[in-house]
Amino acid sequence: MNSIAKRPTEGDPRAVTETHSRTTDHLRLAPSVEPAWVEDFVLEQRLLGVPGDRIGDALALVQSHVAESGESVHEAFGDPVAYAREAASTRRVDDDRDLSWILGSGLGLAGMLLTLFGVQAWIDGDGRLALTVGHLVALGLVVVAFALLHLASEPFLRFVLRRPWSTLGLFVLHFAAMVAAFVFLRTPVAHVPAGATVAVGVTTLALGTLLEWRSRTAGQLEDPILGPGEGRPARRRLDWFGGLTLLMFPVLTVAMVGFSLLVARLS
Amino acid sequence: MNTEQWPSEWLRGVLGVCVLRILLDGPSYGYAITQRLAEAGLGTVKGGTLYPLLGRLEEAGHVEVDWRPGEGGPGRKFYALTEQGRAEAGEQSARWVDFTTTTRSLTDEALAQTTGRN
Repeated sequence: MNSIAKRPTEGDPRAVTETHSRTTDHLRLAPSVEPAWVEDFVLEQRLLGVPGDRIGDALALVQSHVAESGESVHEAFGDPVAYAREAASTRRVDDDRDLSWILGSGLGLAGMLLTLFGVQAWIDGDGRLALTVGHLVALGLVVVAFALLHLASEPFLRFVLRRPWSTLGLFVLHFAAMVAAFVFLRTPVAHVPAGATVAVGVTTLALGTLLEWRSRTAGQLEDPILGPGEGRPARRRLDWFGGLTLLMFPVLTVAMVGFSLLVARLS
Repeated sequence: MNTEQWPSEWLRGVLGVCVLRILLDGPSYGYAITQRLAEAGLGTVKGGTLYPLLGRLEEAGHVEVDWRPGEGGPGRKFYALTEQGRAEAGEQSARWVDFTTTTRSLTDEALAQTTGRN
C-alpha cells in the first residue's frame, strides 16, 4: 500500500525532486532506521508542532547519515526524543492554529447541546426550556474541556500518551460531573421557548459543520510528512471515515434525539 | 594525546568555527563534515551534535542547503556558505585565534610552573 520513495539516480539531480504518489507513511523516509526510533522521533516533533516537511527533511538526514556512516541510529543520534527536541529548537515552530476547525467543532458541540436541550423541553411538554443551574454548569464543563483540548493541546496530548488510564478516569469523572449537574442542579435561572432553542441549535450545528467541512476541504488539517523535494500529494476525496468524523455532531445529535423520543414513547 | 578524548564541552565551543572552516573549502554534507573533523583530529562528532548545529547555521543565513542524489545510496543534504557565512567564518576564526592566544598564554605559564617544580 505504501510506495517506497524513489531513490535519486546518479547524475540526475532532478530525480531527487520527484514527487510520490502516496506520502502517508513516514517510515519510507528512513528505511535503514529502527522503526521504533522513527516513531518516537516523529511523535515528539509532532507534539512540538514541527511542520511535516521539516520532519521529513530531518528523517531523510538521519537516513542519509546512518546509511553512509554505518552507525546505528542510537549511536549517531542518541535518544529519539532528545534529538527531536534538539532538532526542533533550531527554528521556532510556527503556531498556525487552524481557527476555522476549532470554531467549527466548538459551534458543532454547542449546536448539538442546544438542540438536545430544546428537544427534551419540547418532549417534556410545556414548550419552554427551563434553563437550570445544571445546564450552565454542564456547559461550563464542556467549555473547559474544549479549551483544554485546543489551547493546551501539547501538554494535554502528552498527558494522554503518558497516562492513558488516568485520562480515561478523568474522562469518566468529567462525564459523571456533567450528568450530576443535570440531575441535581435543577434550579431554573431562565425560561426560553423550546422551538427557538431547537432552531438556534440546528443553525449553530449547521454552521459548525460547514466550517469544519471548509477547513477539511481546504486541507488545513493535513500536514503530511514530506521528504526533500516531495510535493504535497494530490488531495484525496473525503473517504467514508473522514465524512463520518465531519458529521460527528449532526450524527450524534440525531442519534440522541432519536433516543430521547424513544424513551419518551416507551415511558 | 588521544584525540578521541577531547572534553565534549571544549568540542561544543569550537565546533561551529571548525564547521564554518570546512565549508570554506566548498559545499559539503553531514557525514563528509564529520570525516573532515575526525581527520583534523577532533575525534568523532556524532550526527546528533552536528545536524542541529548545521540547522542553526541555516537558520542564521550562514549556509544554503541543497539535496543532491547520493552515489547509489540515499540523497545527501549539501551545505554551502553564503556570503554572510563566509564573513562569519572569517570573523569567528579571528576571534578564536584571539581566544586561544589568551588561553595559551595562561596555559603556557601553567606548564612552565608545573614543569619548573618537577
